[in-house]
Amino acid sequence: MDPIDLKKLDPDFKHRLARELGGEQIKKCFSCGVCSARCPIEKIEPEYNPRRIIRMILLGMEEELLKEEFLWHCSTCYTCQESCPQEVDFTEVIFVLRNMAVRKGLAPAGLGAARNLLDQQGRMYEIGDFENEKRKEMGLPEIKGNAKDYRELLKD
Amino acid sequence: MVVEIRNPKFKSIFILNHNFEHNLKVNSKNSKVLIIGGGIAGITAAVALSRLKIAVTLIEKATALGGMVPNYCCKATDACQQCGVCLLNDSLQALSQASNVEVHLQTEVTDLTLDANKFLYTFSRPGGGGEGRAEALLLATGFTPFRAEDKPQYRYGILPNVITGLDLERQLKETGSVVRPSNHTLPTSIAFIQCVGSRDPHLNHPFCSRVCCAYALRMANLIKYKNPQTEIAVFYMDIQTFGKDFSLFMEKTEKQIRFIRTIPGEIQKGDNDQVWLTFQDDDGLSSRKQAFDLAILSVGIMPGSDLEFFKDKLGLPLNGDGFLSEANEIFSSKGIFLAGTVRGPKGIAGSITQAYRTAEEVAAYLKTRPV
Ligand SMILES: Cc1cc2nc3c(=O)[nH]c(=O)nc-3n(C[C@H](O)[C@H](O)[C@H](O)COP(=O)(O)OP(=O)(O)OC[C@H]3O[C@@H](n4cnc5c(N)ncnc54)[C@H](O)[C@@H]3O)c2cc1C
Ligand code: SF4
Ligand code: SF4
Ligand code: SF4
Ligand code: SF4
Repeated sequence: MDPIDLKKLDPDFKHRLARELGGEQIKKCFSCGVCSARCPIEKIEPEYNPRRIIRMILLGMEEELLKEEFLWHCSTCYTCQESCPQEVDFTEVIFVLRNMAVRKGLAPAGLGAARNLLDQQGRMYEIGDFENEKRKEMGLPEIKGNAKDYRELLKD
Repeated sequence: MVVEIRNPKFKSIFILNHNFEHNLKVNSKNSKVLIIGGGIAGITAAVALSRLKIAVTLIEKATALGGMVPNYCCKATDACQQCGVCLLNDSLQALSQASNVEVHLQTEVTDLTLDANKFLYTFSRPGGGGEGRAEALLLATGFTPFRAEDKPQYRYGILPNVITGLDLERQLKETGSVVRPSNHTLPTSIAFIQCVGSRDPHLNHPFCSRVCCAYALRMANLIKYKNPQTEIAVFYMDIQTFGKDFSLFMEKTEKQIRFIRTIPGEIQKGDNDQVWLTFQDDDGLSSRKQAFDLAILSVGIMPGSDLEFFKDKLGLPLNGDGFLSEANEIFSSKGIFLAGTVRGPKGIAGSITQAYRTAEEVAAYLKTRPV
């Protein structure tokens, strides 16, 4: 790991994160590491480590953390959250970090494309004639792209 | 027939349980205090009350007195480690010499009411039962050890070489040494996992059990003393201090035992019945797996199994953790007292101290009690 650049640390980062929905418990972490020991992504992705992410938050490493692509590798399986003895909602913390990254325009490019698709189609995968024909064969009604409701949801 | 045990020899307490009369009626003219639970707390309270010249009936549902403590080993190495286990012998000795104490083993209270400052109760026992009265009630019904099966990621009951601290206490007590249950050989590497079932908000046990750091480290020391070549690792969050010599104890222990400040995520089966622990490495950057010959789960102190009964019968308030921590303060004016782990996690010495204090409160209550 690279040395920590003290000038870049923002001691207020953890407080801001704790004010967001799901981030409230972050300062209770006592670094027991059971979240990391049970995380399935940590086993296949050496960069990804919940306990380390929390340490980075508590140290105030906002700049480094929010631009990390590994924030988007969490499968949101909730195993960490279920194991934490201090009731840190780590899966929620990941959502908070992702939201913060998006607000700063730091989300990975592919994610922007997915967002646009959702905005235009109302779903992540386009529904075309092929899908609707299959649905018809199975006696299911046709689906039309209806992005309106989703656009409402996506409004900031 | 009234069964009274006055100045029996120590052993007769145990022998008596086989000769008990059926349908016995508890002596009501004599007994002032009913103690339920004959663990270290109940025994101590009985002795203390008897010394204050107050007659006591002690009801214990098991076949012998002592509660959980008779399961535990002496943890002395070349010197006594002050684990407190042998204090039970002193208490039983004192009980055997106490006057005015009736002991009823294998007996369970089936009904209990508080009526005009008197406790009326019925009890059952194999082949019979009866009823009795008392002026004050002292609950010392103790605790239940955490069921390690309720933490399935550690595979207790599935992998033979995953045992609990209680299993280890029993093994050390009965055989004086520790072996791997799978093949009865000495383990060359042992992992202790602390806080199993305690400090766990998801199991609704956010509290610290207060005794498992002490018993685990003392047993780890003892194993190391007997077999210096055994490698021992202790996985922990932080160590609960115990006693005034704690820092001295730790100074010595840290040289012999590897302390790893993390909680393992799970235990898996390895070759040769070894157990694999997954945990965060000391560098904190990655998880790793390490094989051990034996894993010991340091299970803690959970609320006793009969608390619902007393809650229902007497309206006692269980606290958020499921213990009766506040009941003594709220209900002592009605003649209900509590001592020992029924009030919350504590060790043997703490249970004894509390039992003495509570016995004095009972005596004070009986003096001023409205009749
Ligand atoms: C694995 C383990 C190891 C430990 N090692 C140590 C140690 O080395 N040193 C130390 O200081 N502490 C140790 N402790 C803690 C110790 O066990 C307790 O402090 C002690 O047992 C508390 O005594 P007690 O009388 O409150 O409860 P208990 O020992 O639980 O006794 C309660 C008694 O009440 C009886 N009872 C319950 N309900 C009823 C009922 N309805 N009617 C009649 N009788 C009833 C029970 O049968 C039992 O005999 C250990 C705990 C665990 C889990
Ligand atoms: S499990 Fe909870 S307390 Fe332990 S390191 Fe992870 S977030 Fe912190
Ligand atoms: S929710 Fe994310 S961080 Fe937590 S265990 Fe699952 S993959 Fe790992
Ligand atoms: S206090 Fe514990 S270690 Fe010391 S002699 Fe008694 S049982 Fe053994
Ligand atoms: S006494 Fe130690 S092992 Fe037991 S719950 Fe407390 S900290 Fe955990």
